[in-house]
Amino acid sequence: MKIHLNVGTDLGKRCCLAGRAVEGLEWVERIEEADGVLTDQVPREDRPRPALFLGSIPELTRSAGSIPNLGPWFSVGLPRRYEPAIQGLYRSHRQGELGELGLLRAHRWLAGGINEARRQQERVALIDVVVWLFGGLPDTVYALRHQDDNGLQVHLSFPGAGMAMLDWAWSLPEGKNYDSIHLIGDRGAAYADDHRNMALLYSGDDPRALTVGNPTYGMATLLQAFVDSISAHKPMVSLAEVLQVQKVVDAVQKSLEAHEVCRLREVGGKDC
Amino acid sequence: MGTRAQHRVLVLSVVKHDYLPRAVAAHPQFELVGVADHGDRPAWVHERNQAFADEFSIPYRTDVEEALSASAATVAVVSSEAERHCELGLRAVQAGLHVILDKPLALRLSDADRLVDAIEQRGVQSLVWNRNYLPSLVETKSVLDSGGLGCLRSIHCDFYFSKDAGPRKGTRGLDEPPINWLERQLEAHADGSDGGVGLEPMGELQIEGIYPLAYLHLLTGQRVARVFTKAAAHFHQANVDNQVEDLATVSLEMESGVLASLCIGRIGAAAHPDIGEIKLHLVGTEGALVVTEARPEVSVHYRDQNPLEFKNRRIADHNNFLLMDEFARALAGKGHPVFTVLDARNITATILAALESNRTGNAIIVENRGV
Repeated sequence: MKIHLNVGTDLGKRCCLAGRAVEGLEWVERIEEADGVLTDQVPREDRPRPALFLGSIPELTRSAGSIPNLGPWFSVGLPRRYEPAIQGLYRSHRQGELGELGLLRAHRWLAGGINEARRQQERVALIDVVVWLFGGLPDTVYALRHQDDNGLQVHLSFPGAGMAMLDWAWSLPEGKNYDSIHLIGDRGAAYADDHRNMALLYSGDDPRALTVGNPTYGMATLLQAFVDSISAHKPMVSLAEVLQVQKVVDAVQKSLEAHEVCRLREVGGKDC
Repeated sequence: MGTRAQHRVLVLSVVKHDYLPRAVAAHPQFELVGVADHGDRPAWVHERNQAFADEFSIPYRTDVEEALSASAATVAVVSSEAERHCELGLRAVQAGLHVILDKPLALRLSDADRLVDAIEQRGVQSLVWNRNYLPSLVETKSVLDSGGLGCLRSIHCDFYFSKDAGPRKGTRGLDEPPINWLERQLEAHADGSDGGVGLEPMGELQIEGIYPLAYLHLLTGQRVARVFTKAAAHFHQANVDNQVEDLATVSLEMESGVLASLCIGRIGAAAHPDIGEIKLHLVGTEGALVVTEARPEVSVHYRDQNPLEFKNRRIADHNNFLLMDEFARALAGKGHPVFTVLDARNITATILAALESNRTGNAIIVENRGV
């Protein structure tokens, strides 16, 4: 599948590196030759060919009202869904190993100094994973922030028994991030935790923990999904789906401002 | 060469966790001198009390007041059904005894308050059983106290017990009666999953919530000010039939402004190779810490191993000894136990507020009580 790359330099390098592991992918310079496009630019017009958006989702959703009808072939790339650990959880859940989901618990800690745009992107990305795994929107949102505004705690309640507890911190010292997600279902549980996936380096004093992983796996899996979607004539995640997730993100902000529970009208509760 | 015990201990009912009076007996400064309970209790209560008394070769009396005066005990240890903890504790305190109580302290705040009042009036020491001296908790406290995380901003606890609690949700036939709570608990005694033994059904927040909330208390030095909760009966038919949760998530705001969260559940034996995923996540201004509560541990795997046997076994655990050692020092006038009846009373208030939050769908202010 011939793919044209229309993204910034750093993202482009990551795509090229990951693309080497993608079956059936060929990069092309000229968009006219491409079967699909990877872009980080918010579209201003309908596109004649499949496009996967890898840019800022908050920017995309803010612009949604002014974007022309994009047609079915505009898909939003949600890289967190394709991270190895989340793929492992998803496969277990999809195969029915866990039964009906009761709880999703997640921690996402990043080094300090990230800007508000990145924080918003992080909120959307994780809440999307939650909505994706539960298969629907929550009806209640309760959010709290750290005293110094360097962290956020979001508590979601889904119709029925489902619940999620999400914890972000953007205050780690410079270095690696930390991620952990647990899925607890009525038949079993799945645990993805960086704590479990560490090597120990002994170089004096207490050992240092080293992350063991594959940094290109997530992007490669996302690109493979895009290539496969073009082959199968089946688009990936639509803008409309992302706008649903954005409603939850907006409810988080409302809950923070009101310091109260926010109920989502669309799923039966009163608006906050 | 042993030293003579300094404190005579009367066991007031031992129908639930006998590890509690066993832990008391294991400390060299304490000596069990009798078991007592009310004579009008059902037969199964007397059977368990008698069996424990026989094992320790101590008398079993079915008159609590008589036992309190005749035993010359200075300490009482209470491990009855949950709804009787405060009543038995109150009798002991009114007789001037120091008390050690099993969890949960109480199902109603008024019961806990009466006990706190009596303890304050008599000036006796109290300890509610907890796990705050597990090696992982001691290490976590040490990191915090040394400033390793800077100022604490948030603390999160997962407390999943992977024991089963009877038939799975949805397995009761339409023509079958609802599961009786007490009967289910009595059945569960053999495998130790009868933490909710008693007439009154209790959800996981009431049965086990005191442990993780005691961690938050230990590590923050603060009480909980406000809570929001979502809870459900998600796993077990007994919980569905008795309208008590087996899964809950709680958002907590500590009095100091530190944020906290608790995810707690009796998630079933299939959901974890050991007793359950129990973890702490702490975020401070200068760093963060992830701790598995069960560690240190050793992994043991062998041919023909019982599938329900825990494959990872805790090691280096002196929690029970350290609790009793500290209690002994408190009785000698040196400090206070790590987790008193007053502390547990405030955690009871937190749990009751959490349950109210789940009922109403709103965040609830906790009714704390000061010293």
